[in-house]
Amino acid sequence: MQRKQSSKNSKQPLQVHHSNQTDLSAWRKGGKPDPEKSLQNPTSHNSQANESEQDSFEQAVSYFEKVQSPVSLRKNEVLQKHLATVESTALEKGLPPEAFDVLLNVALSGKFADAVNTRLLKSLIPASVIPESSLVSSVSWLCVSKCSGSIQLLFIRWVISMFDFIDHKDQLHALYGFFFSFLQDEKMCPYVCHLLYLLTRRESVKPFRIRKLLDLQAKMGMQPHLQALLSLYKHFCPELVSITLSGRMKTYFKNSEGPWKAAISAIRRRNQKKSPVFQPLLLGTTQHQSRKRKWNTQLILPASSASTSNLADVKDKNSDLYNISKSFPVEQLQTFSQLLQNIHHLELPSQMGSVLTHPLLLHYMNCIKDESIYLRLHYWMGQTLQEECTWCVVDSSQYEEEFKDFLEIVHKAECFLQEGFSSCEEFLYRSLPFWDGFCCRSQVLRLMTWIPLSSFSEMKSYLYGPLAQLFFTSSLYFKCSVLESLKELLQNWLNWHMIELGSESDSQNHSLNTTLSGLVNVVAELIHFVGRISAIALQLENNVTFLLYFILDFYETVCDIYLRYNLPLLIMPPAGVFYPALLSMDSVSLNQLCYIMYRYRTNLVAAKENEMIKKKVLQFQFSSQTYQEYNQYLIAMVGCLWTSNAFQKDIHPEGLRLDEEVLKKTRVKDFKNSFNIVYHPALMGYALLFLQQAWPDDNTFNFSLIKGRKWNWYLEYLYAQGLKGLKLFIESSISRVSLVSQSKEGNMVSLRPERGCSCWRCDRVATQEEEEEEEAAGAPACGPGTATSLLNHRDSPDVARSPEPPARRAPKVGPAGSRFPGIGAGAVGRREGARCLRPCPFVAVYPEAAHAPWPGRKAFALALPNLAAGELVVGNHVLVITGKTPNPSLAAPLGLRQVGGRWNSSGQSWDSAGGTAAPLQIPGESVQPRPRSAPHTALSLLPAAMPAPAAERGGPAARPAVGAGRGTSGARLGAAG
Amino acid sequence: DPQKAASLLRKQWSLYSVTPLYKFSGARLKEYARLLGAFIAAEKQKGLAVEVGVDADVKVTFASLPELRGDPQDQPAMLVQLSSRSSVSPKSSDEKLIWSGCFCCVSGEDLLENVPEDFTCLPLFLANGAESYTAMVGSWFQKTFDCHFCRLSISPLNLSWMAAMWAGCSVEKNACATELVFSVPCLPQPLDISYAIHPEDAKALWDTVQKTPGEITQEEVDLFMDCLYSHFHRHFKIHLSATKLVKVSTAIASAHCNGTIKLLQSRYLTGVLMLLTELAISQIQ
Repeated sequence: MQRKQSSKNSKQPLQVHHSNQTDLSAWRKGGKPDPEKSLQNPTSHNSQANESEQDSFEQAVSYFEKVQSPVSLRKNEVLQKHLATVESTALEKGLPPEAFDVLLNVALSGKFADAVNTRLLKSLIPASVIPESSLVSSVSWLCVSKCSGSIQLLFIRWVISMFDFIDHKDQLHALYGFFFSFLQDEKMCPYVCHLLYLLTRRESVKPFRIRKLLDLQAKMGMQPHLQALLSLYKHFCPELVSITLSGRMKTYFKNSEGPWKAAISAIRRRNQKKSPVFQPLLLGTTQHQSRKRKWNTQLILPASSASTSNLADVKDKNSDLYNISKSFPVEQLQTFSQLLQNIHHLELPSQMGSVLTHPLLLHYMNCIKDESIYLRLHYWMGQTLQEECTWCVVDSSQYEEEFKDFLEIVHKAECFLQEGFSSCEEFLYRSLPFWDGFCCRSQVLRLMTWIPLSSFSEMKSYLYGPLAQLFFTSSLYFKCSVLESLKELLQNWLNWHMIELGSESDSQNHSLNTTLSGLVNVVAELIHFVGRISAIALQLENNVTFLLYFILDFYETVCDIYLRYNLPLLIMPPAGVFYPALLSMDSVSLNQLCYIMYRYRTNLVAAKENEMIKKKVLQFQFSSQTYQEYNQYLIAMVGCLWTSNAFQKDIHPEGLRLDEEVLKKTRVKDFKNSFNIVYHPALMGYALLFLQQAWPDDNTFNFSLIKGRKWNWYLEYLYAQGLKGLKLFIESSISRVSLVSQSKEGNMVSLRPERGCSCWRCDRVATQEEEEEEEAAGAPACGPGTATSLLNHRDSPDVARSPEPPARRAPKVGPAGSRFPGIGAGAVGRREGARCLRPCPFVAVYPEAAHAPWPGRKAFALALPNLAAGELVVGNHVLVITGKTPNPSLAAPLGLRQVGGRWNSSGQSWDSAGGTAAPLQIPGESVQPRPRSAPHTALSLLPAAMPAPAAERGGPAARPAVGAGRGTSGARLGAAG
Repeated sequence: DPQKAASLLRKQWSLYSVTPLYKFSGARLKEYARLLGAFIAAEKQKGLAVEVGVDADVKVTFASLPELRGDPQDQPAMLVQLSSRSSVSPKSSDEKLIWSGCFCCVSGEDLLENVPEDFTCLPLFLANGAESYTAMVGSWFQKTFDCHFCRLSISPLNLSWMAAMWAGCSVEKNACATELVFSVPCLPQPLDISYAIHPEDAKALWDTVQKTPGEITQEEVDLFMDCLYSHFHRHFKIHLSATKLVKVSTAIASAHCNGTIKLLQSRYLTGVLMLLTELAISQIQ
């Protein structure tokens, strides 16, 4: 059942009214150019025919207007002709508003026989609207009862069917009492009830009318039409009448649309754009009660209904009337314009829970600052969530679908309000420790995105703890959806912060009372949390690209916080995220990482500029650590991708750095190239395609051909393949020697050039000092000297130290160098040398107790193909050995290959296949592993299967554009020269 | 009216927590009674409309119980009673009480602190009678005052508190025994263990446990229960600590974990209701 109400209510501007009240000629003009109709009606192509049609219709109307005495249809051909004209016009395009007055008058005056009247009434189909005045005059005809009962009935049915097309309803409302008196007629009663149902407003409900209806009920018993009308009365005035309808949905009113159904749907289709919004008025019976559940254990969203809160005024009729004129009941609120007009005296529903499904009331909630509204909703929602939570309440798992729907509704409302409900937050905190991560997963995660920004201590114990536990123990897809939700949570917080910034002036004391530093801390904690779980997740899931995508997606928001959200916060991803992305097998991840690094740079530059412009001590500055971290990553990235200095230039403590001697022992030629844009596993495919295109005849796949001008072509090729992130990164972070003079950034004082890459210094003062010292010493910050010193390690004193590390550099890099040995520093073998059947494997060295993920794990896991998983303790280092079989395709760029076709070759197969293999030899004093577990199996490190790029054939030194003469390919950002 | 309060005694009550009532007024109880009466009449004869104010066969009375509160800020408790009128002789006064419910708040200032004045805090609701009536009255309150009813069950921890607190209350000599009922989990058949103690013994034990009179700590409650457990173990070799306490019944009151309570002593009525109010508040906050 629907209560239909036209959007064209009494309060609409008058001009609409006027536009509808056109004369016949205007209608005719309007009718002509309608292309749709002319297409439907082939005759109307002929405008002449069209014209004559109009004329004949006008003649018909004037005929009916002038006809005086009763005429028999059968004998009068004129009448027949005009009647047919009216019928055909009505069916074709509907009648103009002006025709209704005339035709209704004729039909209800009883001048013709019932057959004519019936035909007239049935053809009363509006083209646009029906003027209210014609209805008023026809109701006056009903009063004098000139027409028969059946015509009266047909008229009432016609009014019901056409109710939505009546242009105004004020005067019709004034006739409420008249229609009410028709209830006496037993035949008409059902239709009159329907009409009254459409007309009833709160002020129509009067005690005497209720009594009359109750009398009828006593006389006729339980009639659905009476029930519907009475329940509407109860809806408006619960203080006067009470009725409970049975739970089953049923039809309360007989179908009165019958004769006009097809025509009405045609008009609706025609007027689709301006058709009113039909909104069902809930009678309180639409709730499905299919199952027997204990009282109040069923999830029911309350229907909006009048409140009895102004009962006190009922006694005094005058004040009651006064009150009614003042407040606007929520049941009548159906359009946005109504909301705007009545926003100051809107009467809210008795149960606030109903706003969740009422978009207009949500609008209202959004703009009103009434605490009691939120409090009522809070209490109701808090209890409902608690009671219905399917994983907290015993025996409620069967109602999961219902609960899901409820959570959906709540989430939709939150999205609408762009604000989280505190009751939802509490619910999450309460129920997450018991959540299995499966039940209502997407709904719960979506609710999580709207957790309001609050003090962190709560978040940590209530949200992060349980969430991390679930995260680590659940599937890859769960991990990804959690990361996605946390990204949205971060975005919501940042958006909220932006809005707060904008409205800071007008709202002085916000309820959250968060200072900027508090806000920064909370956001930072979230980012750190995501960083931690991401790094661990990457280890757990073997750096799978899918996961990496979601992680990098999160950091795409993080890297832009300063510029996009105006929050002084930049946090670099942990090494456990950065390195897997850098060494990823997929160009997507690498490209994403490049983009992120580019954005970090942009943000840091902007921050630096702002600091310099303002020349004052800002409350918040990025810590020097942020700049350092960025620089370290940048050095690593440029070293890998561009300058082919992989394993050497990385100064990050958890970075990708190997002792050169160890690298030599791998017998991989040109290991330095392994991760440049040609040989990088993520990009090698592109290089291959590029080679095929550039040298179609050459089948040797000689990658070293990509150098010099070809290198530039290759770069363009990569850009054209959609690696936009790579483009932005290279163009911003690497200025090539030939371009230095044009580089805009070259003028930037704050930027510090480095060899091979552009780097940052955070502390300007220190930077300048360093600059001077460097100039004096002639040693660049990350030059070879530094790199060598980084390789030094206190536990392997005999590893050659850098001959002369700059003395002042030593303390700077010393701590990092001594804390972490660097990957591969413990690469060891057996002293026995060449004859050894079971050479010690090339192992990853972890700092003891460091659970931080080892970034280069993927690449180096290759070196341990056939070892049982386990741990070895060497000195104060833990050697972690994974039992994974590496992907052979990854082996190629590293210069590794299988032995005897299998990775898990035994010592014998090593021997048999190892004609070319030379076991690792250990420098005299290197660290000896003391195996605690099973004996080692053999391992082979062989020259690359791929044609090893020989030094003389390629490499960075040979690239002309890259400043080979200086031993570096990178250019300077600042004082290059 | 002390008699009204006394009507709370010796009845089995189901416990509910109720969120604050919106726009409730203690001055309009008569009106509420009429509306609720009509609502119940309409509910009983589904589909037929009922005029408000017309006598129905179920009579509703609302009564205020101002003496049932802990401190003056508390809202006065409200007793709702349904009684059936015999249809044979409508004038006769033999109305039979068929259902009663009581909203109360005893020392609930924790909740009161943050609630705006439009709201009335009566967080504890006790109902006695057919659940169908509880459902009708509850839904009417929910619709009229935008509140929410929720069953209030009592956790074993709170039951042990009740056992300890009520053990310390002095009662007359021939009072009934203090009885604790334990349920053994994880059995195919339900197995309950009843542990009855002479109230004087229980009091003597509690007096040795309690350090400061008028103040109870969780440690003391744990110690009290541990003493009872070890005593039981000495005799029956059963560790009651591994079972679940489901019922405590003393001369003061008896409470079941499923959220039912029987109040027995008028002297300790407010004391017990205060504890229950606290539980109700913790459930709605």
